[in-house]
Amino acid sequence: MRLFLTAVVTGTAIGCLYGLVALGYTVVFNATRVFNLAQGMLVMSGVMICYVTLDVFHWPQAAAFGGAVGTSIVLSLLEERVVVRQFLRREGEGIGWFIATLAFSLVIETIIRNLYGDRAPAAVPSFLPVRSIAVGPISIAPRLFFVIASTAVIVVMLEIFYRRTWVGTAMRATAEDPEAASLRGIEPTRISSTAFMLGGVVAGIGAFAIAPVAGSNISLGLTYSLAGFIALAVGGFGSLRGAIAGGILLGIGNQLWDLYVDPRYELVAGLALLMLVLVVKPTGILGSRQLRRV
Amino acid sequence: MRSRSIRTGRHALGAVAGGLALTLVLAACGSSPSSKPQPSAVSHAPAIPAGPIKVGALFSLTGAFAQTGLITQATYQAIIAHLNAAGGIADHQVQLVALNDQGNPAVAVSQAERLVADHVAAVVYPGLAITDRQTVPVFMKSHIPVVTLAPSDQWANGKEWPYYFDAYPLNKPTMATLVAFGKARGITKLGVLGDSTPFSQSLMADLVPSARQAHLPIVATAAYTPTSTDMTVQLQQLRSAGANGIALLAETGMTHVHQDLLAMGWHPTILTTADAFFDGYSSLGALAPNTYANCGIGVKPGQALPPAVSTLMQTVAAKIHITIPGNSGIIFINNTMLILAYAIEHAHSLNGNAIASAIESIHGVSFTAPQYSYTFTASNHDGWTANAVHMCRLVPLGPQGLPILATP
Repeated sequence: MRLFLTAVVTGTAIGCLYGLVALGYTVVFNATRVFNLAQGMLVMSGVMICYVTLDVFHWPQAAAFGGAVGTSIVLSLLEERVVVRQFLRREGEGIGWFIATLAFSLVIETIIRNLYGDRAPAAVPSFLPVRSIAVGPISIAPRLFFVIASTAVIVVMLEIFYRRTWVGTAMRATAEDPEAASLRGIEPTRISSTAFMLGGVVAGIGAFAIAPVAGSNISLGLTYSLAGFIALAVGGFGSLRGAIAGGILLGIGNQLWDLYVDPRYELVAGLALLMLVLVVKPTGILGSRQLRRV
Repeated sequence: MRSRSIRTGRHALGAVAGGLALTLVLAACGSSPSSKPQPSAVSHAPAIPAGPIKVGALFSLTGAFAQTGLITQATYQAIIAHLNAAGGIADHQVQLVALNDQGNPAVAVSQAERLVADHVAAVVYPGLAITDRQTVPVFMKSHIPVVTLAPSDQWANGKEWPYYFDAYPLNKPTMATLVAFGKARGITKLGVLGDSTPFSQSLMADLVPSARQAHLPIVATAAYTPTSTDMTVQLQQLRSAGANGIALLAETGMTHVHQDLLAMGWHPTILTTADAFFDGYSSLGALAPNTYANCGIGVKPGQALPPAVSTLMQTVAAKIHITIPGNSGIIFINNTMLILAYAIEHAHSLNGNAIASAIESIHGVSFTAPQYSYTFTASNHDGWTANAVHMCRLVPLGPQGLPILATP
């Protein structure tokens, strides 16, 4: 039972990592209908900034946080301006943005890989204590607890942003009906920029939380991109809570699969979960069908 | 261990090879002239054509294993440059044809076929354990010798793989050494942790009979994936089973394992692979005093390195701009290049059969230094002497970053 509970708690924390990437996808997708394939790489770039500031320069944690968030925002806005907007401006351009965001993600990965060179993967120090905290029969590492807490805070803040601010309301309006929103004076390009900036913020904060868990690992961009996508599809496209729920379900599922079945087939298990959910509920666990009255 | 990366100790430095230089080195190393292959055995092979001698390699330069691939490629390049500076092989410069297999078996096969089409004389790195089962048959079919540091014992069977030659210690004696060392260190219940890679599974398969034979019970076995970032559950499995020692048989994820052990406040004796000198080395912390890795090559405390080895290590480290702890892999890679050089020069040919025959004729020949001698036969294609497997401390390191031999 103790092992099972440990797997559930650890899976929840790892699932939150996936959920954070899925949140980034959701924030951008809701406002632009663009599925930003570079989201995982934005997170990875933030993680590498944390590594450089903390491990190489030994700067304070605040610098790592600021660096990760700042870098993610800059890269995300750059992507929106240079890569995505060209496709959003043109009618009937199909899914050109899909390839464009994939290309942008590969550009980020290649540049960072060359900058990082062939150094060994290294741990990124956390400001939290190393030793685990006992919670009943199980214990949890503070850095994992921080991931869960960060995820909860980000979700709450996003919910407040969408419901209580004018920009958030405009983004929701654009998501629900872009044409009607545009007729009411909401500037689509401004919404697009804001969405990407928000995606960058989520990626940056997520990176700061993820860095002490994942370490300086360049391949995590691809890993988290895929896991985040599965989490998003399982939880439901467009739903903030669904993104997190999908991530947690995937994280716990992976941990239990590793514990009781065979870790070699972990990815297969994730994809099987995705297929199962999509067959039973095509909109995902917390997704909903969108109806438009005409 | 034999996961095939420089840092694991399976690739090494190349150097003083080529014509006269190689002869001098071998003489200095005390090789017996009678141990050299007889040219008459290969006298019908075509001569070496003009131009550089091409040797092929498949590195994972992108994807999950890119960090291993990049550093391995850099090391081979540095060693081959060192070899060329000493005259190359038979007065021919050596050209490394390095292709990216992306750590993907399908891509790796396609790249292996490109190497064949490019008429490489030999292959010095056929990919990681995750791809070499697909690529090696391609080279065997084309009679292209593969002289490398094998990640698995299966390649040492000369009857089955007539053109594959391994310069690294076999896994079975390595695992037997690891078990015996652990038992002598006071481990009474062993937990085994792997990373699900073929390399890891291969080691696990070899560890089990060794532990049984040594009457050291394995109380639990757990595994994670190379992309895992938290191994608390797996470690909890081992701890709950009562393990007081861990055999960490992996080539990825060491950093996370160390972090999670420290978080759990559990400091068991860890017996691991030479990969630990690379992945996770900086995160050992309080685990360092009780962590030991296998090492084909180590130094005794206070022992100085032979000058040739010291020069070699310095030259390569300067070229790859990185200091790898426990970098005995440089010596092993150098051995592979010198074995290939030796074979080509004695065969006077780039013909695969002639090179293979020449390697099979190597008996008690030393390459980088006198203590690193090799013996190949037609059936046994692992030339490293089986009893030369040791355990080393991870911390501290000896001269040139070489590991220091540990005593139980």
